Amino acid sequence: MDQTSIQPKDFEDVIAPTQNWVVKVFQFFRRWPILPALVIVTLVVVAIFAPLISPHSPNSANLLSRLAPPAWAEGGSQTNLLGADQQGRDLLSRLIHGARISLIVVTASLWIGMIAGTALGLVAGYFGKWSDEIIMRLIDVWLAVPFIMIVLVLVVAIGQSFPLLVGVLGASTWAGFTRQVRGLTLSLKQADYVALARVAGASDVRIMIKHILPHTISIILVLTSLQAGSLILAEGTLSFLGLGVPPPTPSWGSIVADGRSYLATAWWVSLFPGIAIFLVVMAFNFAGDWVRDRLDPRLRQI
Amino acid sequence: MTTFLIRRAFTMVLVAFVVSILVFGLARVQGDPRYMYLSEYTTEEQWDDLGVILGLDRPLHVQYFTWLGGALRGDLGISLRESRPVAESIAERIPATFQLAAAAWIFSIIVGWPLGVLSAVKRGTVMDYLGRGFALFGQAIPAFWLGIVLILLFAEYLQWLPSGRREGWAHFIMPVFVLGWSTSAAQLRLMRSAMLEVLDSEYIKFARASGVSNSKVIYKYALRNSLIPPITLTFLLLASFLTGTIVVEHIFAWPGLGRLAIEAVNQNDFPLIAGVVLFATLAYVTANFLVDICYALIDPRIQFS
Repeated sequence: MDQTSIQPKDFEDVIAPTQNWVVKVFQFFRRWPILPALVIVTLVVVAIFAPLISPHSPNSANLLSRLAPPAWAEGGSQTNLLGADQQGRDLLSRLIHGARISLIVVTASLWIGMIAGTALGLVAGYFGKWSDEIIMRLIDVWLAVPFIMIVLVLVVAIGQSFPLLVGVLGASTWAGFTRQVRGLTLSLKQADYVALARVAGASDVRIMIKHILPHTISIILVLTSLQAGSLILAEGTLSFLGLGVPPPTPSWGSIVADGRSYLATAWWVSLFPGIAIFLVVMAFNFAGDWVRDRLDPRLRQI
Repeated sequence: MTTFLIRRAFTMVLVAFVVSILVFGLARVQGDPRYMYLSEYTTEEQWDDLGVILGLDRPLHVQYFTWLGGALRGDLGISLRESRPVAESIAERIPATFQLAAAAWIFSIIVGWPLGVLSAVKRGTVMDYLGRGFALFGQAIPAFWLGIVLILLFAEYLQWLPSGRREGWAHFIMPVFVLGWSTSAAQLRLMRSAMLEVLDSEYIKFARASGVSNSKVIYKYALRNSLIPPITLTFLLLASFLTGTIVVEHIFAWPGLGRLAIEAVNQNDFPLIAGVVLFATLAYVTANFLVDICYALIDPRIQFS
């Protein structure tokens, strides 16, 4: 049987090519992202209520429970459900507070990138000419800079800190916003209603904010949701390398790094935070795809 | 095409310039560089002498250009902890990083491209979703965690594979897989969408209508034309290995540039990290420029944009 005949693209969602359960599951979650939504809601709730939920303080060391295994493993106890790290700090509590750090870092850096990027995109698209030229060249230069190298040299020069982490992650996101918003602004400013607004005497700033910005909201939303996952991953990587939030503040990436020296005896320290990162990144990626399909199907990859 | 290349060359020089200013500026923000070399037992005389040796008695811009000139000629200063030329440490680490990146890059093509083609040709089937699942996982699993889990599983528990250092081909397996998976995911997605686009075009439909066999349509007509985006972008992905190599070398104790960078960070060795960053930046922008040239050669349409 010839399996490879091409289905017309328009009918992609109407014709179900096979009835295999793998395909069905995939398509179901693509349409109804229940699991991703569940993961994200859990993350947000846990992050907000971290001090209420966590059984212990994330930084209180207890040498008696040093490297205590998870409750279900041999030698584990109910006091440390997921075990404890090399200083006897409760792993579950550290994961819960780590969720908070991840969410704060990602939200803050997304806001920075979004506001700066959108403003630059509006200016470049609306005013055009030299301002457009400068901003677009700036993007070219920025995208050609090896990002991680800048982070390395900054950390050595001024030390690792929370503002630095948020700053560099925010700086890594603005270019995408600028490009998309600029493109949209270029076409929007040709519209009749913008010309009418100008005839009616509206100032440039007013036209940009009142008449153009609202139309870019959906593309901004799509970009935001698509970038959330990669930012979580980037935050984890930087923290793992010791370039993120300074210790003892718990961050998923740095907990994985903590457990690295005790792999052979205490696998749980490194294992659980990694699973948390993986689940959250996966959830954000799925949710991002979903938001994109809903708000701006043109961006969808075939 | 010439305009495009000139513009890219200009960007490249500008990036190198900006990064060098940043590194130089941060070196000065850190305070008097003499503090890094001398202890509290230094005499006044030694202090002044070192100032003259380091050129601190001259104006700032002269200092910058002297430093830059030296850096371009391979004089990156002396590392603090090891007391040896930074350039020497870097040169010694290049082969390991190069081998690792090259191996992971080839791995990502060997795995990513065929899976991408298969995924496009068998669109909507289990094969397609398995391929896309492979890509989804590859882009969501944190590389640093994957490396640790593999070490735990194959080196600690099963004891099948060596986990650290770089001695034989077996030492390559885990680092290459960890570094290559997320890249092969990107390769797969590129190949798949390029292939789908071509498969949907009129001339493929015409070829099918004329009764050309299915395998000939796919491998002779479709595959060749869908190779352009993956080929150009695959070189761009090579440049994006920068972060990945740092992580992988750190986990697997791989004696390359990335590990050197992390060592420099942990020891707060500013001259060393400055040298590594400058070198990596130059290598990175040069590689990107070469990619641009390839891009312009492979796809002549670039001159119109």
